[in-house]
Order: sequence, then C-alpha cells, then structure tokens
Amino acid sequence: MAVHKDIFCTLIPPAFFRHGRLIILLFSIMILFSCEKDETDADPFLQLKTGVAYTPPGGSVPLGGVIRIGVLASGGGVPLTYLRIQKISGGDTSLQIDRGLYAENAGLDEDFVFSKDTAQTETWLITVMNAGRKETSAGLVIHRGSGSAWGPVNHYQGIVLGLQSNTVSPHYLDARKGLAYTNTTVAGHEAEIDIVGYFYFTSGKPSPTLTCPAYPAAGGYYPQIASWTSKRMTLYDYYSTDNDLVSAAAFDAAVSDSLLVNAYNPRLVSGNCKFCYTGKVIPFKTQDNKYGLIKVVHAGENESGTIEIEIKVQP
Amino acid sequence: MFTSLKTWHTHHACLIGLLLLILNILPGQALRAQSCFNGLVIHATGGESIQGAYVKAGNMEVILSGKAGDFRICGIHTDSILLEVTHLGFVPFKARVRVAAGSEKPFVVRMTALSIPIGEVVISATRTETKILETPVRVNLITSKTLQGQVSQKVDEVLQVVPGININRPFGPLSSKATVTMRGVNGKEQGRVLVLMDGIPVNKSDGGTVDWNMFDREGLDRIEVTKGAGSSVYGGNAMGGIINMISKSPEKGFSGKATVEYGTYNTLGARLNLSDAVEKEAQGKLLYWSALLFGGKSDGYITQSAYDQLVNPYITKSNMQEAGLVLKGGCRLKGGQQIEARLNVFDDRRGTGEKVYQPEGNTTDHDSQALSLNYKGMAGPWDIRSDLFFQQEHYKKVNEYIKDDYTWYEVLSVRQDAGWMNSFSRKAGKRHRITAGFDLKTGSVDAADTYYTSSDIVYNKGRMNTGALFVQDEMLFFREKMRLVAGIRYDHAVFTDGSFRIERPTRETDFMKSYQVPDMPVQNWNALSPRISLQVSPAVNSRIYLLYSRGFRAAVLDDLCRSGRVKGGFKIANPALKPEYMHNIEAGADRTLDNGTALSFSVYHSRGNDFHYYVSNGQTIDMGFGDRPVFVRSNISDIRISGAEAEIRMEPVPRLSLFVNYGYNDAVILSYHKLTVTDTIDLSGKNLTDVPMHVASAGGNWMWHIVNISFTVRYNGSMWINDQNIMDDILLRSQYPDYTTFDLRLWKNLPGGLGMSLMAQNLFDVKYYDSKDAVGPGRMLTAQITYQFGKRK
Repeated sequence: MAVHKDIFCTLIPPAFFRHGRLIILLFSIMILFSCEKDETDADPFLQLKTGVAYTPPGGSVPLGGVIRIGVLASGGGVPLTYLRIQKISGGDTSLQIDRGLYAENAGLDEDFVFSKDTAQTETWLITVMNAGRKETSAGLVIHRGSGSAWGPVNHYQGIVLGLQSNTVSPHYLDARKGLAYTNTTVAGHEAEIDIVGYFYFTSGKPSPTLTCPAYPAAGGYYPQIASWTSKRMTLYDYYSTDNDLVSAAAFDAAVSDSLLVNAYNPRLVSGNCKFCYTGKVIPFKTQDNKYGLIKVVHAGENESGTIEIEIKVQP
Repeated sequence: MFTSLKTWHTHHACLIGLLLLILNILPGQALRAQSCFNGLVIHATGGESIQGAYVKAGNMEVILSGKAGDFRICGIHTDSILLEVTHLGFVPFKARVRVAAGSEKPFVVRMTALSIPIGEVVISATRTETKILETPVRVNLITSKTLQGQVSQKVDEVLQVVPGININRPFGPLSSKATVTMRGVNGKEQGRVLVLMDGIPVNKSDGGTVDWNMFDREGLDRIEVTKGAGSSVYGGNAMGGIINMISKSPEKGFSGKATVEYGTYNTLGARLNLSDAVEKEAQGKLLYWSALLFGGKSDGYITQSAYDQLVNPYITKSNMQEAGLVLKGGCRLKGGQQIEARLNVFDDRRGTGEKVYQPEGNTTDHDSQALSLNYKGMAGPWDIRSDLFFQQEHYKKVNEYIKDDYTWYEVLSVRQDAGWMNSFSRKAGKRHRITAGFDLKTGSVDAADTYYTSSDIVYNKGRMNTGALFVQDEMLFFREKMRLVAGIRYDHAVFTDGSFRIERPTRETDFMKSYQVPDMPVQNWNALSPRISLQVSPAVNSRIYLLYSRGFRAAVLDDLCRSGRVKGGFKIANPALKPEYMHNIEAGADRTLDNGTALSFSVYHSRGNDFHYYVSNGQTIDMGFGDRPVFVRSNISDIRISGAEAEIRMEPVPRLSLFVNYGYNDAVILSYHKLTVTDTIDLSGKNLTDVPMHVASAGGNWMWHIVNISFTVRYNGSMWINDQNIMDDILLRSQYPDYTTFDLRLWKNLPGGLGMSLMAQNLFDVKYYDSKDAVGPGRMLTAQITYQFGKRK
C-alpha cells in the first residue's frame, strides 16, 4: 500500500493535494451544468367526437356534402404538438390537415369540415403526436351517398381594399359577408375579419399580398391587429395561384361551390399569399371551414394603392 | 668624462623631462592603455542575463555578450567610454560610462524589454521555435502585455489589432458564432483559416468552424498570427493563415487571480485562475498545474430590425449564459523533456431572440470537451514533439416559430475530431535545420433534425480521415544574413460513412425526399502543398523576404453530406466536392529603428482555383413558401486576391506604446463555371462577399502612474453582401456600410493585490448590421474588479 501511495504521489503533483478540494469544487460546478431533465414516455389521448353534428364511422355523405370530424385530444402529460388528417381514397393518400400546435393542459377540441369527393369509399386517418414524439391514431370510413350536395355560393363584387399606407379605403374584410371595414369601423368586428392586404418587395419582385389577422406579418403592417383578442386564420392555396390553376373564366362560370371545393388543394397552403397580381384566382378556406375563390380585378403596386377583388364563398 | 656626462645629462635631461611632463599631464591615459572594462547585460525586470547582445564602446569593434550576459572590452585609453548595447526586443542602451582603473567589478546594463515583440519566439510558422523576424513569413504576435491591456470581451476580439484581420462577431459576447479571417478570405468561412490551441487544431471537420466562446483570454499567454498559406506544415484549413493561441505556463509558487465584472445588458462575468509549480531540484523536475474557471450571463438585447419586431410578436432579447473550465498539468524533466495534459470543458446556452412556447425560446447550446496530451523532448540530436488530441462538441439548436402554424424542431449534432500530430527536428551541420513529421486525423459529424410538431427526422452524418507527411529544411547562409526555408507536405484524405436521409417526412421536409443519399460513395483525394521562402537581413534590425506557398482547404462535412435550407434557397449535399487550392506569393520587409520603432510592410497576391461556391443547379424547390432555387456547393470558380499590409509600432517614451496598421484587400472572382446552361447568373468579375477592402486600426497603451490607459480605433471598410454584388432584398443595398469604432480601457493595480478596470467597447455606440439587418450591441461598458493572491517561490 505504501508503495502504491508513493507512486501515486510521484505521478500526481503534491500541489494537487493541497488544492484538491478546490479542484473538486470546480468539477462539481461543471457537472451541474450537464444535468438535463427526463422526458415522458406516455402516449397522447385521441377521441373522435360523436353526435348528430358529426359524420359517423361508416356513414354515407353525398357528393359535395359536408364531412364533419370532431377531434378531442391531449398530450398525456406533455403538450400535444401535432395533428394530421389524411384522406385515403381511390388508392391515393392526400394530406388534409398537417398542423403543428402546442396544446398544454387544455388539449385540443376542434371540429374540421371537409367535402365529400367522388370516391365510393374514403378512409379518414386522424393522428396526433405529443412533445415526446409519441403518436396515437384513429380513423373512420365514409361512403358516398346518393345524389349531390353541392351548395350555393355568395358572390361579392367590387370589393376595394386599401393597402397598408392607404388612408382612404377600408383595410379589413369579412369574406363570408363581403363587408370591408376601416381602422375605425372595425371596432367590434375584429373576430369576423378574414382578409387584409399589403404590398412589399420580396425576392426582388413587387408583391401585392393577401394575408389574414392570425398570420404574424399582418401585425407588422397593421399594428392595431396586435391588440385583437381574436385573430382569424385564412389559408390560401398559393400553389394554385402561382401556377394559375384556376382561370378567371372558370371563376366567372362558377354557380355552385363545387369549383370552390375542388380548386382548393390543402397540400401547399399558407395564411399569406404573395404575388396577387391582376387576373389571379386564389382558392382559400376560412377558419370556419368555408371554401372560397378570390379573383383579383386590379392590384396596385405601391403601399398606398388598393387591391380590388371579387369573392365567391360558401355561405 | 664629466663634461661628457654633463653633456649626456643635458642632452637626455630634456628627453627625460619631456617624458616626465607627458606622464604628469596625461597620467591616466598612459595607465589606461592597459585598461579593460567588464560588463553584464541583464533584463531590467527579473534580472535574467541576456546572451548575444551587441556591445560597442566608442569606435571599438562590436562584441557579443556571453552566455551569462557578460562582456569584456580591453584596450581602453580613456577614463570614460560611450557604451552602446542593443538587442532585438529591448530598448537600446546608450550612455557614457566611467571606466574605473583596475576595477574588475562589472558594469551592469539593465535592458528594458520593448512592448513591441520583435525578439519573441514563435512556433506556428514552421512548427519549430524561431524568432519572429528570423522566419521568412509574416507573423504578427499579440503578447501577454497586449492581451492584458486589450479592450475585449472575447479572445477573437483581441485580434482586431492585427493588420488585415477581419472579425465577424455581429452580436458581441452574445454571438453564438464568430469567425476570424484574413487577407481577403471570405469573412464567414472560418474553415479557410486554421485555429490552434497550443498547436492543436480546433477547427471542426463538420463545418470548419471554431467555437471562440470556449476560450478565455485569462488563460492565454500570447497569440501568434501567421499570414499566408501554412498548408506546407499544417495541411488543410491553413490555406488562409494560422492563428495559434498559446496558453500561459505556470510560474513557481502557488498563485491565483479572481475576477468579477458587470456591464451593459446586465452582463455578469467571473473568473478564477489558479496555478502552482513546484521544482524538485534533486530530481531535476518541475511539476506544474493550472486551473481556470470562467462563466458569465447576460440578459442581452433585441437584435432584430424594427421591421422584424413589427411582423413577429414573438421576438425577445438574445441572451447568454456560459461556463468553462480549463485544467492543465505537466512535468518538465531533465534534458528538456516535458509532458503535459490539458482538459477544456465548456457549456453555453445562447438565446437567439425568439420565444413562442419553449421555456427558453430559440437557443443554441454547445456542450464541448477537449482533451490533449503533449510530449516535447529530445532523442539524441532530435527535438521531438508529439500531440494526441480529442475534442467533442454536442451542438443543440432549438428552433420554434409561428407562421401558418407552430413549428418546433431541434438540431442535435455530435461533432468529433481526434488526431495525432508529430514533428521531429534536428540541426544538420551548421546551416540546416531539418524538420519532418506526420499527422493523423479523423473528424466526424452525426446529426439529426428532430421535429416535434410533425413526424420528420432528418439525418446526416459523415467522416473524414486524413494522413499527412511533411518535411522542411531551414537553411542559413552568409553568417545567418540569409535564410531559406523550403518545405512540402502531402495530405491524403478519405471521406466515408456519408449519409443523408429523412424518416417519415411530412410537408416540413417532403420537398427534400428526392435528395436523400442514404449511403454516399467513399471519396479520396490528395493534396501537395509546397512552400519556399527566402529572407535577407542586410542589417541586424532589418530584413526582406520573398515567399511562395500553395495551400488547400478540404471540403467540410457539412457540404459533403448535408442538404438543407440556406439563405435564398436550398442546398444539396455534394459528396464529390473536391478541395480548393490557393497559390500565394508574398514579399515583405521589416526594419527596427534605433529608437525601437518597428516598421513592417507586406504585399501579396493569391490565385485560388476550384474555390467552393454555391451555384444553382437549375432546379427550384417549394419549401412551403413558393419556389426557391436549389444550390450545390461546387468547385466552380477561380479567384484572385491582391493586397498589402503595413504597420508601425513604437515606444516614443517609456511606458507608452503606440501602433497603427492598415490592410488592403481586393478579392475578385475571375471565372465562374456554371453547372447548367439554364443558370442565368455569372459571378465573373464579382467581388467576394464579407471582405472589407480597407481595414485599419490604431491604438496604444499608456502605463501612467495615476491610471493605465489602453485605446483602439478600428476602421472596417464596406463589404459586398451577396455573391452577385447586387442589391440585397432585406438590407436594400449592395454593401454593408463602413464603420469606425473606438474602444477604451482604464485600469489600475491597487495595493494588496486588488485591481480595478473600466472598459468601454464601441464608446461612440456605432451601429452595424448583419445580413438579416440584425443590429450589433452598440456601446458596451464593463466594470471589473480583480484580486491576485498567493506568492511566487
């Protein structure tokens, strides 16, 4: 033992022992920084709502008819962070909802509305994921009923919205009613606003842009939106817009909501639609699941200009 | 006879009388014809003898002081002499000295070291110890004195006093990333400049990056900056130069220094530096250790532009907390042998200015460890140096934001580098010093971007193994007035284990699916890096040098095996990316005047080929917000860099040192090879981005009895923002504007080991911006108290 001790002392400088406690203290401080908390392994909870308001599993819905799916979910001890709704029909899988979220204790309680397509049978797959990356899924099969349930559209013309520095025209649009409000008259109607417009340069190009109160950039151009307690999200199919998939003629000819529903592809959508030039047709869906089309009659290309649009939207 | 005697007496009496008269009038001179004058040349502080000092007495021949600093001048005929003693790195001594007849007691010449480091020894230029002006390469040295007085929070900021240096640390101490480049190399590519810590490379193989935050100034003795391509001794990364941080060597006796500081943005810092060295005389051993613990935190500030703050309600302050520990221990044995071990541990978390739901919002986190073992010794005529090292960084980035919905993903990247570096050096005859060696290195990255708001996980990994041999000959001619250094290095590297794949992609990463390469092919490449440099010293305090070198920079793992978003688009991995090369020619001159003023000048011209650039492959991709171009990092351009540097350092009066320097860089793309005919961009004739054409700095240190003062004025010229040199979408201009900053430090050592300091960085609160229009920290004030304790044995 004495031999070991001598070797040890020879190898380790004696000074180390004099100041060993100090060195151990230094190590302890470093170790404290490396502590991390554990994460849960629990699965999230998911339940599809039932009742007369909701499409039952195995139910029949006619072409163009409403499919309503109610989702109740929670994270199982950690926040719920992801919701995905897929439709599988005719061998194809299409993504209908693909949303990140952060729902803590209250969880998620939300209804989703879709439209029945031409497939005889559709399988709807609903998946939720929590912050531990655990997933739970539920599904329902829906059959095509007889007949057609395409509905009417509300058509609003001659809507002129002022861009962000315009002081004459109204800025805020309730798309379902076709009503536009100014900075003053919007008071009391904030929770009804679906569409606002602004102009800026992006990627070196001028961009008359349509957005919505819930999209973060809107608050930059309309500071008073930041104080609204309710901000609605409208999703624009910018891919269809950029690629002119819907013509102005088709828009003009639409008398039922079939074009409104079929033109909207949820794969590439956003609450912000850039490059809304004169002549563009923009499919959109409002927060309360109403499908619509916007035709840009004229788009100004400066901050003080206006954008004139025509809207066809489900009632 | 009597008459003859009288006649003889009369005749010779005159002669005798004349002789006596002469002897009476000039008694001293007659005696001093036989006098010798003894002297001793020593350091004014410390008292160490100085060997090799030039000693001149009047018009007598110059002699050199001996090993003990002694000298002896004989044949002195006067009772005083004008004694002149000069030596590189010291204030010249000149005084009329009385010569005491018959005295053997030596006259002591105390030489004061210049703060100008013209006699210091450097190692990174040649991997051997040579004096700074005896190496035919431009080396700038930041001494411990400069480190002490310099106004800076971080180590890289100290380098702003080096001519031609370009520092990119946009948010001051809050920056997660900082880069230091030089001589026209792009200011965001750390991988083109090799950074060493005590000779161990710290650039990561993943991105060539260096975490400058893990090094603390308190632990450093000096920093060597070697300009021009250093690949002939250090291989890749050294294409654009070498920065070598040298840590302090503990002195005998236990000592410590504690520091606390507080400053702008509620920034707190603390350091504890301990060291001890014990000499075992009987065994001829010196055992030593040191420990440095440092840490800090800051509430930070909002870096984003006013527009970003308007459009993003989740913006918050970018903040910081960090801690580091450096432990070093070693043993010096007889015969010049030394074994040393070093451990560096660092952990930080820096907020990047956005918070939605996560407890600390968006953060970057570095959890790093670096371990090295070093041996220096001799085996016969050979000087041997061998270094083993291992470093690991766990880099974690939390990213959350809300646009259309909530997105939260975390990057975890494990970056490892390890190696074994060896050099063997010996004198061969009187005129040659041969150095040869081999280096082995392996670096890897294993990373995953894990999404928590979707099912995606994106993986990338890869490994680079490198082996190298080098040889160098340092030759002396014409009584050391001419020096020739010739060397060459061969590197062979293998890229292996490369992989890029995505698990369960959703809309978040769906667009990347077609770019997966789960099993990348193995790639090999070789590089030959010669260097030849010639130096002529027409006088003891002057030199002229000419240099040619070839450097290379291997592709980093991030370019070889990772696809992902970049500014303006999407980049895809390119496992076939070859190294880039640069030929460099340089000429320079140095002269130290009699009053110690040091003048230096360099001019250089570099031609790079196969330079790495992002180039469009003609495709576009929609990442969720419209089509964007797809880029590939490719060997597509030839570049030219021309430049010059000049510096003056002086000590006009004792205790006052001043410097001024200027650097000019013109970096242009000469030719640009498109990947596809549909690429409409042509970068030929465009300037490299993030390279200021003009940089200048001036400053000084005044050790005044009331308070010590340090100041630095730094001018940073304008820089191009994007590759095409056109107006940037975000900044609405084509160049970052030039700016000038002024830093000031006042400090004083008080009795009892206490010290106080007040530091002002960017005193006039000049605002400068990065490519996202984020703003720098502006003026930062820091007050500091230090306490030194312990004693020297």
